[in-house]
Amino acid sequence: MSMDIIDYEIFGDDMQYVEIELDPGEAAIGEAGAMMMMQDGIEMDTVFGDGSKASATSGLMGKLLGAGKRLVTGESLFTTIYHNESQLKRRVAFAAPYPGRIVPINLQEMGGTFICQKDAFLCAARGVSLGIAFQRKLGTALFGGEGFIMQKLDGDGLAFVHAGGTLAERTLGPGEILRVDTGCVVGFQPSIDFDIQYVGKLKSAIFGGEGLFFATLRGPGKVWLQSLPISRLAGRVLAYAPRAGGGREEGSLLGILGNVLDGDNR
Amino acid sequence: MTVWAGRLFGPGQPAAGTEVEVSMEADTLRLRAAGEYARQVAVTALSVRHTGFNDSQLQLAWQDSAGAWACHLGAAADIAALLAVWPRERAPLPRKLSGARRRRMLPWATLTIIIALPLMVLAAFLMSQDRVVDFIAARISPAVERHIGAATLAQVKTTTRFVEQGPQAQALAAVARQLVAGDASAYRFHLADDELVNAFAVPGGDIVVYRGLLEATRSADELAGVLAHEMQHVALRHSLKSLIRGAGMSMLWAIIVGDAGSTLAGQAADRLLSLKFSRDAEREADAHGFNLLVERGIDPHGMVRFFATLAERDGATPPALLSTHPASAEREAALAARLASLPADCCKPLHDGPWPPRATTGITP
Repeated sequence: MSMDIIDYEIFGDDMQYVEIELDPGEAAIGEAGAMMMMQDGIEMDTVFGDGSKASATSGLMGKLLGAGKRLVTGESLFTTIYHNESQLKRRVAFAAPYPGRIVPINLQEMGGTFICQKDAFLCAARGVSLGIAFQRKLGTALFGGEGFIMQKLDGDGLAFVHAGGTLAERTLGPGEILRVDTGCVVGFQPSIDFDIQYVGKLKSAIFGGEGLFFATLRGPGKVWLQSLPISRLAGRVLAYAPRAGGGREEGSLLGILGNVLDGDNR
Repeated sequence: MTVWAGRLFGPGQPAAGTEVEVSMEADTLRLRAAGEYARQVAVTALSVRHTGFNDSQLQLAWQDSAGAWACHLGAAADIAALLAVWPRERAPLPRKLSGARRRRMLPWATLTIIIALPLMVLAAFLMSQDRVVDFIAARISPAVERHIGAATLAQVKTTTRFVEQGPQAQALAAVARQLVAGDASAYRFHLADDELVNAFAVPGGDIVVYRGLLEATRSADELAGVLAHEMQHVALRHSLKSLIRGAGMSMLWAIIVGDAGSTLAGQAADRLLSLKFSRDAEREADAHGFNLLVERGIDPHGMVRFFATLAERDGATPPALLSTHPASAEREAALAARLASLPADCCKPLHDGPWPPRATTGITP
């Protein structure tokens, strides 16, 4: 096939990076800004669009379309290709942008397509094409926690996606349903039916803290879930962030005096 | 015989499914994985439905002694071809599959309503907000307003020292007496011991003037101008109204965007809206304040002059008083127009002693 077969190794526990070994002539694509280090001999090349072969041969309009799609998913217009120009095996590493786990996805095993949340993509073997999967189920798009735009990875090589917090991988049998808190879905096989379900009781809907709807994933197929979506983490951090005119402090016995003694007077 | 690409899920199969070739022979579905003998299922045993992401796949599901099985077809052309040769008389298809797409318009209509409705509510509120706010403000009694004001003032007092006596406090009281004339009970004036060039009114009639502002004025008329302006904020219940407006806005905002309202963008939008409000209010207070000065026989030139002074300082470090106020140039122009239409001998200057009064140093005898 047109895919490059790449070897990889993932380092770290909760703030991971993945190191990809490229044979001479092989290449990987990375999300702009995700590269952490690369050995001598690896050339970096930035292309307009998604860097897949389809986009490279499709002329200007095709490239613009590819780039436009990437813009819609909230990513950079450009993709960076890292190719090994030396005669030896060389390594390039990509780091996850926030605490969480890096998941290797074997697209061939998935049947060629993988759907993931729109900022999950980290890097992949050259030949994987990045597209958007527009969520056409209205309810799911509005209340499923992943919005209207999801990302589609096509190809038959390895792709790496990133999830926040701890990762859960689940296999669902035909017709098996998993109910998930909205926002916790990282990605799934396209055979999975991604839908929403009303929590069922008015009391739970209002006071249960999970909102009006669960996301539901109906099998068959594989799904990946994250324990801590970055938006949730950011929301919590923001709630405690100091604001102009004094922020919320940890309860201190010293009170105002404590702030003075702190030496960190804003 | 045509063969379609499918994916088989079921007991003993890999979690992500196995690639299979799907074909249809008479009333039997044949599935063949690479290097395996074909698996056969009678169409009468199959349940057929659309599923997968965006319902883009066709699921053929059945049960046997080993458990639940499903075969998925992904390509649209394959699905159409399979449905075309499906023996409908033997195994009827569900209505959804046999009928063509019909309800396509419904989701889009719903989407439009869901997105447009909150925006319309917001637009309606923004357009009629003055009326809505006035309506609510009219239902809040002055006692409640005073209560809110007292709480605000108490909070100010925790961080700022108020000057109760001395030449500056006396001067402020003297000018204030001239302004309030009859209804002395409606307003209380306070002098705050702070370098800031600022003055503000809290709901209920308490007006706080900063020492910095008092010292920046060059005559009693100028101070009277500022006081007249602040008194109008009280009389027109501006603080109360902006409070109501802010509460209404953040409530609407929360209803419309949910969690996102607590983000920075939400707060910024909130603040911008309230800033816009106070500019309209300042203009109103300027106009009414000017009239009050004329009514009391105080020379309004002082007011105009002082705002011009502030505008000059504006360039360097904008005084706090200006941060929420209309662009000084525009404001001056509006006031100058009013001055021009004034009779020449309408009023006389206030107070002829030395100005500004000195701050008290040490203990007053």
